[in-house]
Amino acid sequence: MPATQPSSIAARQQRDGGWGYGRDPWTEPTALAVLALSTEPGEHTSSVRAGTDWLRRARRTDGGWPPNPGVDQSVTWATSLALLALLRAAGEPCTGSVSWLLDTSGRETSFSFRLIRMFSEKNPDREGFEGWPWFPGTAAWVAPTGMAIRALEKARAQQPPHIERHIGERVQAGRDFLLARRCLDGGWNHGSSRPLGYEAESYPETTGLALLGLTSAPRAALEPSLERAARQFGECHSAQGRAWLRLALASHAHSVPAAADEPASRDITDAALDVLAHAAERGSNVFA
Amino acid sequence: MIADRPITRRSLLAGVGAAALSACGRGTPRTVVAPLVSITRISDYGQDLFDEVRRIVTEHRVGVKGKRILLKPNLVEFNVDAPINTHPRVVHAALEAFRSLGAADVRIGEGSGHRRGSLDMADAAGYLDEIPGFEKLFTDLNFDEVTRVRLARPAIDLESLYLPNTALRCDLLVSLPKMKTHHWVGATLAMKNLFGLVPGGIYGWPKNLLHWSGIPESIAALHATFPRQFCLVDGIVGMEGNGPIQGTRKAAGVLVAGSDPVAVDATACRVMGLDPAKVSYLAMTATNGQTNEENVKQIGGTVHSVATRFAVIPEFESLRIG
Repeated sequence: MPATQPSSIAARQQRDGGWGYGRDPWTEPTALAVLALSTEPGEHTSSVRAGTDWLRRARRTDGGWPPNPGVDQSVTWATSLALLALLRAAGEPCTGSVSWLLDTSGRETSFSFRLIRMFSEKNPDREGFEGWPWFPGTAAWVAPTGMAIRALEKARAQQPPHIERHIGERVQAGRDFLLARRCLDGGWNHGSSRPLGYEAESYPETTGLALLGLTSAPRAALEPSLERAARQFGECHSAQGRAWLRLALASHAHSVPAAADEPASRDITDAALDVLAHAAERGSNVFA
Repeated sequence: MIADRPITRRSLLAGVGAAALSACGRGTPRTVVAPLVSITRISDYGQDLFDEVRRIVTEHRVGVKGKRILLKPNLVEFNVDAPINTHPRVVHAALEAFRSLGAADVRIGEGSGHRRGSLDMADAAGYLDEIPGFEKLFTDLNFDEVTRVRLARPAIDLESLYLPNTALRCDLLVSLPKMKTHHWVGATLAMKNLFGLVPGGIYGWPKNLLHWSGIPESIAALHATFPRQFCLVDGIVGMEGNGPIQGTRKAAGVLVAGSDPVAVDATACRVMGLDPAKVSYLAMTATNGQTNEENVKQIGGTVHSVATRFAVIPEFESLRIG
């Protein structure tokens, strides 16, 4: 059983259909809550409908989603999760949102930055592969890249051919981005594996999200990373970190080790991810 | 470990600007009252800390009565064996001091910029065990309600920021950083601690927007946006070397405090053996010459009495005093 029941997530829905970290609704918890409720088909129908309606209202005219409706900027991870939620719960292709994600990449792969890097770059693990930033106009990072890859791969079958092709190219570049930034210990840090010449340590949440992004990658290349993820599981202090690891290990059909303790569930995102991880371990993985 | 560093051309420009400002600051006659900075020698995180912190706040005549106070510690990592996070006893002592001096409300807030889950990190760091009712006092600033604020001192590509209402609406922001070296700016103290006010829930982890706008420039922008501060630097045990995460323990046995963040950080730098005039964000913001020791009114111990040479990575050997 998951530590959280989906019904308790439904009970925390706000009157306007969204979910928040605290008082007001935000995109990320709403999208994750909708995804979590969708793991019990036929249940929570009205909650899911109200949640998807909230997501449609929150979507910006550029196709992306802001972190919350008060923010005048679309961001990648909220867009990836909202896209996954609408695909899963409403079967919507969300082509405009897919296009927004495809048009967004790390600033370090922009033409002007590449030009400057030609003369100054010393860091060998920046291979120039296009990943996704958290916030437009900044560098690409592991976590938003993992999320964007999953969202685009899930959306791919419903897109027109030219967008489908573009998705294939960006997903491949995203995978290359992730593989180029794997740490020596097999997992992933936020970005570079060797910043300023020092070996970076990997983290549970970034390792989990990178492995989710690499779901379709050849298994043999990922064995050390899956082993690292399994080891991180027992060392991880946050419910969210553990949930991303569980989702990743389930996506790669790798067993999840037993853990002595259960980190506290702090908010709706922790609760929703716990439900999603539990469902994934039983064969219903919304990210796979 | 944060990974991506912006264009070096910007760093170069920032350095040139900082050097120019530094030179101006040193040569400008002082026309304002010298900021007060206290140096308190204290060897450990024992019970004496409560009395010492209360004495420090009293000594500085911080206007506390009836005020809404936000304590802002530095929570960076889950690894509790390394001196990365502000020690929970320092935060507890500050909480009790401000309460006892008549604050209307004292809250604790942090928006960790490195790992998500500030409350999880606070738990791992022992805050929930140390501070009664911590969870009710704590706001994760990464997910607080926000207001878009035009920055008092814009940086490159950074004219406004969404900032947490809990920080914007407090009467006094109390910066409670750990005394650490920093592999990008030399030292991370009270001013750099303000990066934790920028919500990861909007800008992500790490808050890379601030890196692209220039770290020193972003520090200066946040400093100008939060003018009502008190700072208490936890230098009882700090970090040297490849800080702020991968460095090693360095016991300096000191608290550095004051209401002028530039003067406090400049003094803390001197304690660490670093020349504040060479630290770019201090040079940029020392409008009253605070990087010059003569322009700071120091009370308690002297820098000399607590000076502890912090090792720095080779890139920052040039920051050494002398």
